[in-house]
Amino acid sequence: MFRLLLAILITFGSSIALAGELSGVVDLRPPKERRSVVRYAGGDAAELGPSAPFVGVVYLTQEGLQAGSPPEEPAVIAQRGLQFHPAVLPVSIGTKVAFPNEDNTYHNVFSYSPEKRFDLGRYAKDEAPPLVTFDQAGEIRIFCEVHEHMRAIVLVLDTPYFTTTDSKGNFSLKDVPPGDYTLHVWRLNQEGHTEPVTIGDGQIGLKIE
Amino acid sequence: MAISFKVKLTVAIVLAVMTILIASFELVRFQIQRSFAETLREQYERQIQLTQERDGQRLRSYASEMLNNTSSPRLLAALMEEDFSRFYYDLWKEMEAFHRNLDERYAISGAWPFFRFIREGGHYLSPPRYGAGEFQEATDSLPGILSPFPENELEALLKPLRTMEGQATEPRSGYLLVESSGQPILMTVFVCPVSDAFGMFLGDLILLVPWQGIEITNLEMRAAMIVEGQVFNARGQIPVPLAAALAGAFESGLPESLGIADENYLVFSDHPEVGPHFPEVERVVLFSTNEQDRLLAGIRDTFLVFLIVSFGSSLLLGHTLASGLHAPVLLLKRAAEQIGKGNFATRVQIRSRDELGQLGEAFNEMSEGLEMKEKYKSVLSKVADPQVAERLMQGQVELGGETVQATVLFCDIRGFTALTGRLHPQKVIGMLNTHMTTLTQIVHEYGGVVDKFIGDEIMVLFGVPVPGADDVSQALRCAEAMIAKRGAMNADGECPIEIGIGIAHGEMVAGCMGSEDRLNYTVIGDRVNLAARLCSQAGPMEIVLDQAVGAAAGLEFSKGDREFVELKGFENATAVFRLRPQATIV
Repeated sequence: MFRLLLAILITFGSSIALAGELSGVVDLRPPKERRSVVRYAGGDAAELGPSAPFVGVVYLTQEGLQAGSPPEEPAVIAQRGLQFHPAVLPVSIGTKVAFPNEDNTYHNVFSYSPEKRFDLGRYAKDEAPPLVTFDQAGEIRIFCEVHEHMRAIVLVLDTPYFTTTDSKGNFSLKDVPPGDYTLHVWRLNQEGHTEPVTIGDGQIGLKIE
Repeated sequence: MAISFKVKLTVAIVLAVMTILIASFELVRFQIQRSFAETLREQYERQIQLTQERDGQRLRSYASEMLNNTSSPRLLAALMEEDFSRFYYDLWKEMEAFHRNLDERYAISGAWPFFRFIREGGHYLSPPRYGAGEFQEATDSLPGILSPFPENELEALLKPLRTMEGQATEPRSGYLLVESSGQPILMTVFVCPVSDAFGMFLGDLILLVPWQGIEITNLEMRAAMIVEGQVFNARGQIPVPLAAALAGAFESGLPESLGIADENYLVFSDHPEVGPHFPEVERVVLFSTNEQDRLLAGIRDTFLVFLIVSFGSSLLLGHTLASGLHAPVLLLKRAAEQIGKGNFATRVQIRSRDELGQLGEAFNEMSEGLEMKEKYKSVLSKVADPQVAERLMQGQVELGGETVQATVLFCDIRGFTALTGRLHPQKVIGMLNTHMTTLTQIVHEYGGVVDKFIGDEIMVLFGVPVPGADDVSQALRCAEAMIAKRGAMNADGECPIEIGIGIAHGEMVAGCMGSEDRLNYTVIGDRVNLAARLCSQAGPMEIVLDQAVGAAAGLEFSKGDREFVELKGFENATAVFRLRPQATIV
């Protein structure tokens, strides 16, 4: 693998490409069946929809590399069909996240994670809860106080280079400046993975078990 | 002294009545005890079943509550973040139902319910503040969290109970003995494995509830639990000596009943099912038998009264009955004694129709028969010689006759015709009767048998029907006595009678002879005729013997004494001996 990388480096290293592309497949275990529990009596007006997959996150870190200024636009985790969409959201430090309620029922989004404790309280479809700014790196577990099965993860990263896999584990990270990085893979309930990777101006294909 | 039949009968009746009474009391007692024990066992089993159902229900409801509560997203979130103060706080809020009647429980057991959580992997979540807390503090500020036990001890006790890897995540329960300031407290422990909505095993929620003994209303009972050989009782129901006795008996297996200080208990026990890693326990229930004892005492008293009354009445009854039997028996006994004395006219009077009456009748018939027999005997003795009569009655005389060696004696009066001619016939008979009676007495004295009287002649037999040792000499002595007696009588001035006697000995036939319905015992033969002829040969106060008699009697006669006479019916002259004994010798 390393030799291949070396060969690629030697072949394309001299070209004047500005960015490289990293792609590959992350092995994702199929998620467990969830049961849906409505904690409070009275029934729910909203119908249970399909859940978003707990996809993997692939990101690169480098000595001295920081997230930089966060994007202006807030990221979004919507509550739709009594599910969080998406279930996994990687953001860079300082990113604001909106939690809009698209169901005809109340939701109460909260987190006890030490990196970001917040509780938005109950709110209905048309109410706009305050944006939550994630200003500390870490894995923030998001729950809904009303619906036990609703889970989401906000992965706050101190790097601008990250992406999610699709539900099958395929990922592609583009526009990464060439250099030596450490590649990290985050998966729910599965061991993480790190490996050094050198980005040139070509494409790298990885297969991560 | 022999015990009277009356006393025996009375005692037997009294004993029988007493035995029946006592036996029925024992039977009643046995039945009561058995039914009591059965009732108690049923009660116990029902109660145990109820308790088990209740415990099972409690476990299920705790488990479902737990599941419900632990599916609280806040709780899960706190758990996932390992924020224990948050976790226990939220858990307490969720488990309000768990805190009801805390005061009462505390008063009973000195402990209160609380819970602990052990994370998957064995991490024991110590509550934010721990130590041997106070009840008030525990209920006011940290309900369900503060425990009465030291936390490290608790941790050591609870950790082995957690759901291990590969173990089924089933709720389970058992009992633990935990010490609180030196006092062991029995806690019922529920272990509820908790998984999140994704089926991920989070850990075990462990509830500890002070144990409560079984209670059955309206029954005096004491419940106890034996854990690791230690007897534990709720509410201090079991006094110390009883607990000590139980603990002592536990080693060798619990007894069926136990008595301590005048109190008796029936002991029932079983082993409740406990989850894995819990200590074995034995559930014991002691039922007081006081009620049963009281009941039995009442019955016993009644029986005692019955016993006394029936003793008296059976004594009376026995006495009456025995007297009723005894009187006729006494009567019969006396009558039998009379019969024994020869008083055959004795009769008994028994009016009863039962067997005794029949016995009396039979007795009377018997004595009648005896009386008749005696009458016959006396009549027979008059018409026959007593010896012959005796033999006849004994059936020892052969009717056909038998050949015997016997001696025959004939004795008649000399000159009887001349004598009677001078006298009045009445006087003759009187004289003859006196003469014959006297001679008969002498014959009997010498063992002879008067065969018959022929006019003035008397025929006597010796050696028949019973042969004697020396019949011949007896006959001779008899003859001498006859002559002596007659001589004496003559000397006394009676009408002088002179007699002559002939005796012969030899073979003859003896037997009953005559017609079919009238028989005489007699002897026939040539010797008989000889004797008769010899008698006629005898002069006054003379005895004539034949040779056989002389020889058999051992008399020695000189040849001169012997004479030969021609006798009618005898071909040759017969040798005879003539004796003239002294008439005066008596």
